[in-house]
Amino acid sequence: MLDFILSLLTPDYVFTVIRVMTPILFAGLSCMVFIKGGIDPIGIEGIMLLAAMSGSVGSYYTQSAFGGVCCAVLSGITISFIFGYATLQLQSVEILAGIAVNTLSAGLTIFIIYYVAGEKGSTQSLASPVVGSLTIPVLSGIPILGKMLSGHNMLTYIAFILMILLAYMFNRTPLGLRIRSVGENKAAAESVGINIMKYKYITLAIAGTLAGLGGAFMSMGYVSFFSKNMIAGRGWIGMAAEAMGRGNPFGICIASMLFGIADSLSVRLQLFNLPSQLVNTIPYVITIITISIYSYRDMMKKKRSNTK
Amino acid sequence: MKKFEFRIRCRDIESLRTGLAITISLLIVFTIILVISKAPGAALYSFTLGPLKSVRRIGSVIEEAVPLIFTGLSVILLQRSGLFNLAMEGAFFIAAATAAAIILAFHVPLPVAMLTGTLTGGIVCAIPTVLKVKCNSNVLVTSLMLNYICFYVGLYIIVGHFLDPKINTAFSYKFPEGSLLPRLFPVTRINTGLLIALACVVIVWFINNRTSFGFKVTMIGKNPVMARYAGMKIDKLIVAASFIGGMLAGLGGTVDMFGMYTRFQYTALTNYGWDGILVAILAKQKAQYVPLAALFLGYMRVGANVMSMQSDIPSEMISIIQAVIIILVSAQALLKNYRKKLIIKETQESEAGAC
Repeated sequence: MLDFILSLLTPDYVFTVIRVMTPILFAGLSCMVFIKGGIDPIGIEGIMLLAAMSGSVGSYYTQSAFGGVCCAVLSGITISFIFGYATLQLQSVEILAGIAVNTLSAGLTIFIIYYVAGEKGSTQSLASPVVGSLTIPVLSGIPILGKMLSGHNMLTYIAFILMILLAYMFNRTPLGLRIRSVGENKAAAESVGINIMKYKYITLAIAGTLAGLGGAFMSMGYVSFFSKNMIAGRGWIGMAAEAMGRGNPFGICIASMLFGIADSLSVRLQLFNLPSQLVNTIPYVITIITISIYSYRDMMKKKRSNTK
Repeated sequence: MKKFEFRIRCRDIESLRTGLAITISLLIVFTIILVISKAPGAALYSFTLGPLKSVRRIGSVIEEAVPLIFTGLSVILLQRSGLFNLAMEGAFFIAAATAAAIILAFHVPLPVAMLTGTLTGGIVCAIPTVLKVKCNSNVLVTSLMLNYICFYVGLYIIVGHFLDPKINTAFSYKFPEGSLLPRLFPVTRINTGLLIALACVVIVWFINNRTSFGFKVTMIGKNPVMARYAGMKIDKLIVAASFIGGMLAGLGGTVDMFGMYTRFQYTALTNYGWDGILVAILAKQKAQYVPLAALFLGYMRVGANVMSMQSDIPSEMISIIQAVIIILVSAQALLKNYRKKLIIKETQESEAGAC
């Protein structure tokens, strides 16, 4: 047992946590943008899945990782625009349209890789370049910290940079404030002359980009190919991370780190002959418990302020 | 005698939209087939008429429809109170797993095992709603997480304790003799599960239309504020509704397991829960239309499978149809102007009639 605890304190473990949390951080940030713009994010699972597929296939055709990432981002934006067209122009119910996006992606990705790679399971047979890792010059020289923080995938660093940029955007720039006002009170935003449709689509573009990057990380960083259903609920865990971080990018970062810890813990616990299926439930159980605690505290706070 | 005339009224607009959605989605898919298939004629033929080619295939359409009836009904009840509880997917899976485990471990009679599974399904679907009531947590997120927990726990029960070492795949031991649902027709695998499904249709129709419970839940879904003022015990009612919805999904899981298989054979979530959403939408949230909607989806499934066997189009193409239908049926803007026109025309006519 002591060995186990010690193995968690190694720089190696921290490195794994950061690697595992990256897609969830992307998903969480994307959900945050969706929710700030007043759009339900349930379709994120499908957006990420489609982006992961396009990333892998795009990288195979262009034979460059950059091309793959571009394809992933473009497909992320395209599918979220289709979602936007369905909900904004055709006025479908958002949750249903999101479920439709998930259904569509689950099938369409298999459909496409069947034609590109010739099999329905994965694109392992295609040689697609992956996004490289980055060794940070000075940081990598520092003994323990260097091992933890240097040498990650480039997309991981991009995730953290985007987190800071988004925090700045939503709190300090007119664009961020307008997106928030459209999300919080459409009528009020419209009354001061904000073009609702324009900002809804900007929201969709930003959220689609983030989800697309998350998908690209899955198929071009986490592993080097696309396999069916590879997002495996990470988009929805992103929704949970958003709820736990209450729409604050740094809160979301901490929440996704929690999932990263739970997820990599479950991998390590399997070494101890614990049933792997039960260990796999840990991240999901933790999500439900923390969300309930947070919501309960919020509810109590509201009740107290109402009675005062 | 009054002359019979065919007219579209504004209350028909939803059926019209459903029809339009199905037509558009099929057109999109036909176009895709025409563009990418090397033998589009054969592909289209086997997709549209393939399921009617043999008794066995007609049987498969009905077999495919049975679990969809259960999850469709489950979704109707789960969403009736206005909550988006998506735990039916997990409930379907874990109910099948617990029922299989109980029958393998204790050799209980089949009804007991099915009842256990049904109750498990009910409890699973009640959890997100209880958390909503007690903690105000987001039902959508908790139910999605719960699906994964159900999957892994169900897998743990079977893989951890009842795995048959004699076969190569991760299936359980064979269910004991006499613990399968009796088959109804030779050649096909249609079984008494179909009768249970149809009975459930009647029961759900009765609950929704003829009981005060069903009325109250509908009212909560349509106008929660009004329901609160009317003094309804909203919390208890929505938990009860999701419990019943979960029981239906759970029963569906057990019926599928003991009707179609001789061992526990699921290795992934079945997706029947998600498909139930499409069935419920196509049935316009009305229990009496669920069998028809389930048959439609079942027919397309079998058609897609036949097509994937006989041509170069993979069966996953069906998900495009499903997605387009979900979006367009719920698209309020579709046919909006037509509806307005109809309303104006009808009011003018009724005014003219009154004069």
